[in-house]
Amino acid sequence: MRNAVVVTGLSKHFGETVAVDAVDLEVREGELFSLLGPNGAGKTTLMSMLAGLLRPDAGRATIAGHPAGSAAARAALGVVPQDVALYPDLSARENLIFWGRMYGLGGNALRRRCDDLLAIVGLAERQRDRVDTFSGGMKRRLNIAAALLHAPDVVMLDEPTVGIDPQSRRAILDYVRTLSRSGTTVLYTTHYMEEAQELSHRIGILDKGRLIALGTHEELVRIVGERDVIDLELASPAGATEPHEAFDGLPGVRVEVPSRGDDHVRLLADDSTTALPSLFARAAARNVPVRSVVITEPNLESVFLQLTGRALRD
Amino acid sequence: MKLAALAWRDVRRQFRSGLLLVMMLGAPLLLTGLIYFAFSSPSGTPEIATVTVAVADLDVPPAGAPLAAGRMLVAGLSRPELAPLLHIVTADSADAARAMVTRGDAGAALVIPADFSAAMLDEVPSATASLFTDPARPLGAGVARDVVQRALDTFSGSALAARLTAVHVTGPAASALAGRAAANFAMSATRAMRNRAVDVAMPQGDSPSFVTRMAAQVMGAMMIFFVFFTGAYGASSFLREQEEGTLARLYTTPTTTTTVLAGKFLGTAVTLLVQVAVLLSVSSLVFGIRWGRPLPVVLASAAMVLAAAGFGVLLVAFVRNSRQTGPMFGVVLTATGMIGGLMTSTFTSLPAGFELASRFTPQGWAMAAWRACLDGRGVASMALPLAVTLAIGATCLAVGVPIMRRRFSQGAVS
Repeated sequence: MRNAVVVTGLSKHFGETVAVDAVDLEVREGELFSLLGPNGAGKTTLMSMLAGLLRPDAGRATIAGHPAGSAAARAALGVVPQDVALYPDLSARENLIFWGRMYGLGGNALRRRCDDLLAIVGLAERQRDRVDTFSGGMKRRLNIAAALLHAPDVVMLDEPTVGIDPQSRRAILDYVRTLSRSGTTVLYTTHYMEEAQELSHRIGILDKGRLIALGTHEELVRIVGERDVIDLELASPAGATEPHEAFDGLPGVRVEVPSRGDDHVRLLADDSTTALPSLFARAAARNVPVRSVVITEPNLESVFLQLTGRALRD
Repeated sequence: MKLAALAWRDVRRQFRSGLLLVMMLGAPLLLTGLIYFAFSSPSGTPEIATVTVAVADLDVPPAGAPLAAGRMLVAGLSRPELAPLLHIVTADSADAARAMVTRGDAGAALVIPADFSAAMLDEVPSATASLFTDPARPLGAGVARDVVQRALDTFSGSALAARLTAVHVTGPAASALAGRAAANFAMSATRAMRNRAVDVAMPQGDSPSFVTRMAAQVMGAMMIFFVFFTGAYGASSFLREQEEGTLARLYTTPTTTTTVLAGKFLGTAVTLLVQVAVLLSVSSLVFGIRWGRPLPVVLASAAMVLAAAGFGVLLVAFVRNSRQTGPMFGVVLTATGMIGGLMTSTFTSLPAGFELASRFTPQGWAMAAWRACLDGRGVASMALPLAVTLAIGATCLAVGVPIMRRRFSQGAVS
């Protein structure tokens, strides 16, 4: 499989601040790749360089084999900016027609494409209304549609779900997934680890301008050796012994000490599926009634915490 | 196609802005309408308030002269037929007459010099009757000047006829004959003056009324003033697009900086041309303004549009963000408009320095071009204001575009 996006040693400084620091990255054709990182990690700066809006201080990048920023690269690229970039005093349809013309489209082909996209993003019935009458979610959906008019090889979405309601967010994630299924290469930035985890074939974690980890979700989790977290809520205190002592010595299970109170125990398991039967057997044998069990699989939050010592949303 | 799409988008956005429509079309028509209807009766016949003219008759006829031209001029101006227009009061001296104007007791002061009769009888080379008007009351000053000028023209004609009579008659009776001829012509002059004075108040035939001529001056000035505002507003769309994020988005498409700049300039130019066409048409229909011959009007419009668009680009090149545009445009365009004479377009007696200062602004040259159009002049006689207006526009673009290109190019807007 060929690479749709290739980034080699890309760097950008703003004065003394290093926004992007020698990033190397390859995104394969048809891949849905997420760049995950906290605010200020350099995601948008990296995207801006790929879109040709910023000139890198060092390194190079290509889009669909063309140098980033060239006319050919821009023709192969659809960019969904972080903030809605539409004309508020034009209608949804007028906006799409205009942006389509900027990609060199016209005539019936453009009109049909607009019809299709307006239907896909659920705005067909509001297509004649001015954009400044739309809700935030509707604007976000139209913002995405404007980048897809020319059926680009690569679509870059820069935090497209920031500040919108859960329903619109869900709709946008579904569009992105559909887009990826159609074979389009998607480069997606977010600081929501759930989105990266849910959508992506591969994830790159960016922090302070550096790409600190890269791989599939499973690979990233494996890198830091994280386990499933099992939280047990007990019906009553475990008697004379400390509650965590009731679960000592179970194979593949480690008890987190100190526990979070007399009626709560946190366990770390190599595999929660195989650990649960022996865990319940031990609870019954030691007469420790369990009220509830919450299993949390290892996630990118813990990966980021492990790699940087900080939470993703710090 | 991209160029047209960019221009059409801007035109559409500008004509959808209610505030901009008021500025582009409503304000100039309203301001002109206020002036026009304030001085017109509901029937459409101009109603001009009576102007008080302070007359200092210093004329001392030569001994044995057959007429006292100064006294006759005053008598002519005081006739009942002119009463609706002029109210004549006498003053003892030139200073006293001028003082009445300064105090606001009179709209104009007419000073008839001591050698007025002598000049009429050709005993001295010439004599000048001076009219001192109040610049703050341009309408009254204009009426007084019209009536007095026509009266003086009539007297000059009478004196010329008297002189011709004297030349052709020789011998001892010549002097007496000349005196009688002068008296006869002076009497007929009074009648002629009365008829002409009626022309001033109630114009007949193809001649535009005084109020229409004044409305044309105001409309021309207001059109220029607001066209320059629209030009600046059009250029400021770069700033708004930068803040809306659409300019950066434009540069993620395969569209060059040159195309974006050219599209925006084209959009502004089209908007301005539509604005000018609407203002010319509506003012012609509503106020009866005749703007002049078609070709000069087209050229004056084109030159003004280029100057306004270019001046707007130059202004925006030095503005940091859209919040600064309001104060910046307000100060600069109002100041240059005032210096360019747009606020005093109907004033007839401004200091010479004011006229000179107006030549340092693009609005002043545009106004000169439109005045030439309104006077019915051809292209050749308005070549200078046209050429200078165009040159100012081109110079503004030559300075402003490279700055705009640096500020708003791909790679500089993220």
